Amino acid sequence: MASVESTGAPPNGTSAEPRTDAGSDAPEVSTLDAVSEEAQRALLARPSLSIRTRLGLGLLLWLVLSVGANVASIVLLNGVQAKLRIVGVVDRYSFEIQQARRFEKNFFLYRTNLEDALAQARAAQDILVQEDATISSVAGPRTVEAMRARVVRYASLLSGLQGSEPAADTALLRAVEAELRVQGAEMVDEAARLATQERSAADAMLRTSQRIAVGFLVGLVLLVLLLGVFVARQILAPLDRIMMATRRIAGGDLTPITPRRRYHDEFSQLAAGINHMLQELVRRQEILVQSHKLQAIGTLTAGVAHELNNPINNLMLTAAALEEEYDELDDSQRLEMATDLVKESERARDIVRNLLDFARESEVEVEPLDVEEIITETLQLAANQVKLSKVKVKGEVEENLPPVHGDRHQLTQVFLNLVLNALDAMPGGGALTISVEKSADRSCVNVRFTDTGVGIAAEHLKSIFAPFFSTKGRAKGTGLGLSVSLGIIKQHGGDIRVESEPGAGTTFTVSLPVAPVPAPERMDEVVA
Amino acid sequence: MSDLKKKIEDWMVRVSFAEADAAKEGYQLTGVELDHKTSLALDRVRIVRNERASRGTRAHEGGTMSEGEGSKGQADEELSVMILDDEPIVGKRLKPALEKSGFTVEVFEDPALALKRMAEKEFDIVVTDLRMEGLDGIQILEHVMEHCERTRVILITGYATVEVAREALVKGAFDFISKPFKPRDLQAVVNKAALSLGHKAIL
Repeated sequence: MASVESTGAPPNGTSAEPRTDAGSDAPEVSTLDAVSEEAQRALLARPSLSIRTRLGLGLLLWLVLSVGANVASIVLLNGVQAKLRIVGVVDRYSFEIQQARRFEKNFFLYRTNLEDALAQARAAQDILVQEDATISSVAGPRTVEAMRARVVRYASLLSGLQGSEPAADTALLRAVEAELRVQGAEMVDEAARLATQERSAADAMLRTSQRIAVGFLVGLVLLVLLLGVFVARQILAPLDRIMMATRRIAGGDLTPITPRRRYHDEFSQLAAGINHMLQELVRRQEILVQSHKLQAIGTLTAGVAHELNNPINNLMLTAAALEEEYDELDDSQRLEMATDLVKESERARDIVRNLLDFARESEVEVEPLDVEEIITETLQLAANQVKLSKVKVKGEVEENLPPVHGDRHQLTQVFLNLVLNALDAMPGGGALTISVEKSADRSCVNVRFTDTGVGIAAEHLKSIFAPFFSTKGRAKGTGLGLSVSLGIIKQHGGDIRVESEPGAGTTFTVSLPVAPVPAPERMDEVVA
Repeated sequence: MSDLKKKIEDWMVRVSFAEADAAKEGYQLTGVELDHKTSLALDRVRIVRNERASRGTRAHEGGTMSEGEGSKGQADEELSVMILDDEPIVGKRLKPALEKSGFTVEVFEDPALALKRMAEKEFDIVVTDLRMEGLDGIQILEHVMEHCERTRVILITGYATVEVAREALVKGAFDFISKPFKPRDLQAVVNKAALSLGHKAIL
């Protein structure tokens, strides 16, 4: 089953086009919002061909097919009925003629039955008159005319024989007899021909009607197959795609659904709806990230306040000493104090600057980042918490690490959260080891935070990434940290894993995809 | 000591009750209010301790000298002060200020070195930062109280919380001084400690 394309995902989407500035200028800004807008436009810009229209067309085709087949059958059956009727008429006619000819034969042999022959001929004539319309509709008025003329002539010949003496005029009688024979044979032949013709026409019609029935059956089967394929292709496949998309979204990948077909339908509307939901989710996620960040800032602020006290104290001591003992000091001592004042002011500035830099609301900027640098920054931010907690922090960084792709502030936030969590897990002090290494297939950089803290109970392990889940109690934790961290890392195309042994410690592993290497010729251009 | 401990506990409990009451009514005690209540408790502790200290001094002197004579006699030999803070500037600025007041001052930045020095020499007054890497101020306080109960320990804190104040007082700290402070502020506290040791204040 085809998976939903996810162009625009930060880790691989941007790798498609070479970076023109090689990271020297403003880093490219890939806001998810822009990608979503683009996807929404693309989804709805295609020509519209709704499922309703397509189903309607299918049903209409069905209707036309059935009506056509039925009408054809009715017409054919009517035809057959008419033919059979004609055949009946012709049979009756031919029967009368044959009777007449039998009586006529009797007359010439025994001079009897002339009246009967005449009556039969009249009856045949009556049939022709009565069924004139029927026969002429099939055989044409001229044939009917000819047939009638023959019958009339036959009848008149017969009536001419009436009253004549049986013995007299044998020559004349013989001539009449010959003509009567000819006319009679003609009439019988004609009727037989007509009957055969009509019978075979009826047969042909019946065969056609049979063929139509078979054709209709075949058409029906084809149509059903077509409809089945249509349902599978047009309805089940997009449903599957959307199901995959929702699974992916549940996994934390919030890139929008992009169009894959040439036209848009109800599923496009659904996809657009899901994309809209995604935008909202991203917005929510941003709010969560922000509120978690504020919470982290709150935690840091206590430490910063403590830390700030030292340079401020130094400033106050030095300034007060300078003020009180100005006259007793020599120039070099004054200069030393002034230098101290400057140095301590700078120290205070640096302490605040770190926090302010972290606290600043910033656009998400994806750029190649050195993981070690971010960890150093994180540890600077958390320096006071670390100092207060009596935890020894060790770092093990592999040589020649490739850069990762991500947003500096968001990654700092994730690392900070993991460091603060580790400190919370070691209330009596301990060791936090942060190791950075490439994954086995070199596609990821793994950052491992291993503490020697209280560990996480097995029954809690599966829920620690759920939002608002906290084991720290209401006062300390909001349960946002890990959920927000996982959200951020998933958006970076990475993952967070956890292993823990209650009482022995916990290891969180953050995997981040390696940033694509800029094309070498580009580098040359930059160097040149 | 247990009697004193009980009293201190009692006062500090009152402070935390005040804090809890405030929290119940939906507001937090401001730093100033808390400082005020804490310092009230501190003052009471100090009164009791001064009485005890002067009794102790008399006993130490063998009861042969009057109180005035005792302090006068000790004023001749300079009181020794240890300043322990991992911020070098603190020692650098406080040392001349205290020396001007007539104390012998030794400055340490490393708590471990300070402890080593304490084993060699008994200081009259120890000024120590509460928050240091390695050993913290409370541990220094415990060590000092274990080895030399007469020594006055003054703690430098970022800001005093009721819990820390209670712990420190119960463990025998003489006083707190909150960062940031001026050399003169510390001089005042050290002088108070000197007074409690039976010396005249040198201002």
